[in-house]
Amino acid sequence: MSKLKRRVAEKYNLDPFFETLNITRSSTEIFVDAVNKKEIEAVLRKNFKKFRRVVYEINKNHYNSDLYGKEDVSAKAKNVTAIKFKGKENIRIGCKEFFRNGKKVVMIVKIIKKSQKNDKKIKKIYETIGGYDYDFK
Amino acid sequence: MTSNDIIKEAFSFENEEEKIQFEAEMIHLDLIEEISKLMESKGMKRADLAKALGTTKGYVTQLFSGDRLLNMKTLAKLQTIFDVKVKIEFLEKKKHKKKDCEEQKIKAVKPVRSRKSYQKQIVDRRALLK
Repeated sequence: MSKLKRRVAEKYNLDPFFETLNITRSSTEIFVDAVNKKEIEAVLRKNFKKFRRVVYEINKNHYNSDLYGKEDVSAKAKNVTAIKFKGKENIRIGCKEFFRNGKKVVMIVKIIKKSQKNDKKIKKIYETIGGYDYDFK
Repeated sequence: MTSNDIIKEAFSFENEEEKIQFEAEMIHLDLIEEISKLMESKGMKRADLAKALGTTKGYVTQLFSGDRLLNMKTLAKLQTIFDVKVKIEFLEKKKHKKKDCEEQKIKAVKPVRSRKSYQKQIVDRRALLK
């Protein structure tokens, strides 16, 4: 995981989601970390069914501990959240929410969770993410 | 490949059946959000809900993740558990969109500090100045 704190986030165009399903557009936008994009998209591609639900929940501003939930494990991890893909491999995508001109959710890093609780390593990742800031593109 | 290809891929349903399935999941997730609010108001945990429904915690987890959809019997049980009545309303899509849009605008703003925490901060600052 890169320690660079000022990073670049690429925006996802959610039009296919709104148009195909005739859904109301909220002011929430979804981004991906430019450095970790490839790795994150590989996870999403394997879990499209769940990813659709996650996009729906994020757009609705819902938090659900089985799909997309808050992971503010300490003060350092403020506004940190995670997308949860529970299956054979217990994968999380660590995210951070920003509140500038509406809500922006950035998918930052793939995490493989090995135990039920957040161990020290995962807590450290969430705290690192909590310190990130982004240039939104 | 651009950043947007993955969204196009994710929301290109293979057939009408797959799309209908996802539309059912959306309705389900809205119901789950309401159930979560009820649970929060009663301080109820997932395990408590499983017990009240006479089912396993795993089943409740599947409901919350959308892997399994609510059925009418479970909904009827939930009415009893929370002592509530389900209100059913079909809305015209256009009207619904407008109403929903207004709600989203309100929700998607940074949570405002509560008056209590703001007052506490003022008191703390004053104490520091003394």
